[in-house]
Amino acid sequence: MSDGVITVQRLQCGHCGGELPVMGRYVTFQCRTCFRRCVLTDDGLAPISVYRASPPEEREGKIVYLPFWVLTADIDALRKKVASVMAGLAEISQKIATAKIERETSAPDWMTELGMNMMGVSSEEARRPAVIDHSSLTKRLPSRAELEHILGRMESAGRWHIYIPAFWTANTRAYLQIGKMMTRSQPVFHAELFDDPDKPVMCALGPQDAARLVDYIFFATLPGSIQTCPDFMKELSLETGKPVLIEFPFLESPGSLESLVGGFHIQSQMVGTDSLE
Amino acid sequence: MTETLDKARAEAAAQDVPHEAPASAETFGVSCSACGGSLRVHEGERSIRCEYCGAALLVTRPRGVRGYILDPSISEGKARLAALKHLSEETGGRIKARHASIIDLRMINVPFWRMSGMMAGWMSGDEVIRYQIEVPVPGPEGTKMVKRTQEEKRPFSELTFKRIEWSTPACSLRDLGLQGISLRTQMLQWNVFEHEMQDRLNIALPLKTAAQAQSDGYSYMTTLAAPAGALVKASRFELFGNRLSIYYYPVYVLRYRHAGRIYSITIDGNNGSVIRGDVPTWRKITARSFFLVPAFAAILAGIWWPLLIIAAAATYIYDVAQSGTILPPVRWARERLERWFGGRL
Amino acid sequence: MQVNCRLCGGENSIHPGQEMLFCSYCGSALAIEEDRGPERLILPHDRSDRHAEEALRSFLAARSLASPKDIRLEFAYVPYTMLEDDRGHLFGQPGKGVWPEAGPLTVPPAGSYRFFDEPLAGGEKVIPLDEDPETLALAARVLFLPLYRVRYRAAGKKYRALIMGESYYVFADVLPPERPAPFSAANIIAAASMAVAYLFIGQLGHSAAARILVIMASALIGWGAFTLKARIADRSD
Repeated sequence: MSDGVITVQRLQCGHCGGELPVMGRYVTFQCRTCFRRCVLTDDGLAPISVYRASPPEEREGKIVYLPFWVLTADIDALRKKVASVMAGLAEISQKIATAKIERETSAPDWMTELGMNMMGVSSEEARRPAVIDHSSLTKRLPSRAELEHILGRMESAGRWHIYIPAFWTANTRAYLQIGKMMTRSQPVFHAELFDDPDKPVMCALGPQDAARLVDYIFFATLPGSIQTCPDFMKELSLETGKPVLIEFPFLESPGSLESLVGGFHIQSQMVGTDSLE
Repeated sequence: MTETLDKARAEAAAQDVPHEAPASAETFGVSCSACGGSLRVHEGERSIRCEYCGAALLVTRPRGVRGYILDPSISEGKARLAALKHLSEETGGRIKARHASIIDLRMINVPFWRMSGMMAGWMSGDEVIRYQIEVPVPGPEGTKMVKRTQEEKRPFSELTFKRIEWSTPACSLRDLGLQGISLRTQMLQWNVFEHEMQDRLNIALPLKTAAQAQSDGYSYMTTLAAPAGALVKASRFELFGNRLSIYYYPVYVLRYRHAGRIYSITIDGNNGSVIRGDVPTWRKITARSFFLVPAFAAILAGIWWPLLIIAAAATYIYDVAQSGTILPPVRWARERLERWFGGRL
Repeated sequence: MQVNCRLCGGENSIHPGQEMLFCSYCGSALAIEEDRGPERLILPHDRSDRHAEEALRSFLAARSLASPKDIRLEFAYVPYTMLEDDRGHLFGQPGKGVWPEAGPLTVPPAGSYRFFDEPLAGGEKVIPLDEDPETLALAARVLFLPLYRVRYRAAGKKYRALIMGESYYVFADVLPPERPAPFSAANIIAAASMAVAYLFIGQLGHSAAARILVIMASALIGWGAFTLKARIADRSD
C-alpha cells in the first residue's frame, strides 16, 4: 500500500541549471552562479524572493536574523465569516432554548427525557436547578462586543499579519510561542530584498506548511474567552495572501534574544543553534 | 581525471552549508539519480550529496502513502533455534526440541501505520472537576448532612505543536501473537517498499485504511494533549513532516505441538528476540500439603483411627460451607485429594 | 492482476492495496481506478484437515473442556464484505447463503491476500458472493476467507464450530462441558505410602507426645529438603 516513493533528483537551479549547495534539513537555496534563491515546496523547487527587515535603530551587540513566513490576513473575509458563523450558532441556540422552556413547564421528568444521568438525585431535588449543567446542550457563543473589538483593532491597523517562525528549533512549543508573540506585537518594519550570496537563509519550513499553520497561530492570539467556545472556533478559519519570507533582526544577549522590531524577548534555547550563526 | 573530479567534488562540498545532522539515526535507501549508487537518507534531510559521484541531490517526498520494509537479519534456521531455546528455558529444561513437533515456521512482514513529524493541533471542550460537598437532606429524624459528589464543568482550550511519533498495527496482530507491541523505527535501515515485493515475500496486507489510521492518530493526540478527564467538543489537527507511512516489519511465527496442544512462538526477524512465546505449563506439587497432610493423617491414626473419619467429615463440611453448595461426596473426595497431592514435580 | 496503462497501453501488474503505480514502459504515474467496485481479495490457504482438527483439540484442551470425537470437516472460501460500523471500525459481514454459523467478523486474519482468481482457491469450494448492491457500494473490499466448518461430538452431545484457515482461530458459541478433573493416581499412592511410612517412624517414640513430635519432625525435614532441592534446581537453570 505505498504509492509515494521517496526518490532523489539533481539539485539544480531552475533558472540557470547550476548546482545548488546542499542544505540538509533547510529548504531555501541560493544559486552560486546567478544568485537567485529558490524554496522547496510540496511541488518541487520554486523561485522565491527573501527580504530582510532592518533594525529600527542602532544597537550595540550581535544581531542575528531569524526567518519568518509573513502572511497578510484578509480581514473582510474574516468579518464575513465571523458573522455567518455567529448567525448559524444563534439560530441553533434559539431552537434549543425554545425546546428547553417547553419541556421545563411540562413535567419534572424532562431531565430523564434529555438523557441526563441523574443518579442519586430524587425527583424533589431534580426540580432545583443547582446541580444541572446545560453546557452540553447550548452552544457557547463568544461575546459580540469582544469579537467587534478584535475585528476593529485589526481593521484600524490597516494591515494585519500572521507570523510563522521558519527557523529550525528542537523545541516545538517555540513555534507557537514565538509566532504568537510576533503576531500579537504586529511590528512596524522596513524590509528590503535580500540576496547577499554569503548569507544563506536557514529556513526549515516550506511555504505550504506555513500556510497550514496560520489558523493555529491565529487561534493562539485570541483571548481564552473566545478560544473556549468550541462550536464557534471549529468553523473559524483565516484567509490570507501568499506567504512572504522575511528575516527579522534579534539582538543576542546571554540566554536571550530581543526582537528589535517587536520589542519582546525570547529565550535562546527556543531557537536551534544553526539559526544563530 | 580523478584528481580534478575529487577537487571539484571537494569544492562543491565546501559550498554546502554546515549544519547539525538530524538527530534520528533512521535512514531510507535511495539510488543516486546521477551515478546510481546506493545512498541512505536520514529522516529530516531534504538535500544530500552523493558520496560516490559528489552530485548534489534533492530528496523528493511526493504525496501519498509511503511504504518501508526491513530486510530480516535472522535466517529461518536461527529463528527456529531461538524459539526452541526459549521453549527449553521457559520449561526449566523439561521440554526440549525432540519433545515438541514443529507444525510450521513462516516469516511474515507485518504492516504498521506510522505517523511521524510535527503535529499542530487545537482542541476545546470541558474539563470535568469532581469534588465532594455536604448537602442537608431532610429525614425522619431531622436534617442530616450527607456527602455528595459534585461535578463542575469548566471550559478549556489547548493549542499544541508537538513532535508526534505514533504507530499502530495495520492488521490483526492477534493471530501472529503480537498483541501489544509497538514499532520502533529508529536505528534501523529501511528500504523503500515496492508492490512487486508482494510476489516474492510474505507481506501481510494492511487491512486498516489510511483514513482510519489517521483518525486513530488524531484521537491519540487528543488524549495526550487534553487535560485528564476532559470532554473534547471540537478539535483540529495538521500533520507536517513525514505524514502517514506504512512500515513492514519481519517476524517469524513458529507453531509446535506438545501433548495434544498447539502453541506458537513469535520471533523478531530483525534482532532474533522472542516477542511472545507460549509454552506448556503445568501445576506443580504443593510440597507443604504433600508432606504435612500424610503426617497429620498418621498422627490421627496413631492416636485413634476413627479420628481419620472425623477429620475427613470435618474437611467435607468446611468445603461445603466455603463453596455454598452440597458437593457429591465421591467427587469431593477426588477433588480434595487432587488439590492436596496433584501436580508434577 | 494486470492492468493496461492509459497512455501507452503497456501491461502492468498491480497488487492489493496499491493506489498508484509507475508504468514500467512509459514511466508515467497512474492512479488506479476505483470504479470497478470493491476490491475482491482471497487469502490462499493450503487446506489441512489435520491441522484444523489439532486446532480444535488444542482449543478445547486449553479450556479444560471435553475432548472432541467424530470430527467432521467441511472447507470453503467464504465471502466477507468489509463494512464500517457507526464508530468507523471495520468488520466483515458474511455474504448471504453462507453457513448459518458464520457471524460478523471483527478481526480478519493477517496474511498475504491476492486479487481473487479461481485458480488461487486450489480447487476448493468457493461460496459465491451474494450481497445487496447498496451494501456492496459501501464496501471497501470483499475478502474470500478460508474457513473450516466443524461438527463434532463431546460428552455425548453434538457441537459445531468454525475454524479460520491460516490463523487456525476457532469460533464457537456453544461449548462442551468441562472435562472430568484430572486425577493423579500416582501422587496419591505416593502420599498414602508416606502416611504409612510416618506411622512406622512414629513407632520410634514411646509416648503419644513423642510419636507426634517424631512424625512432625520427619515431615518438616522432608518438606525442607524438598524445597531446598527445588530452589537449587531452579537457580541452576
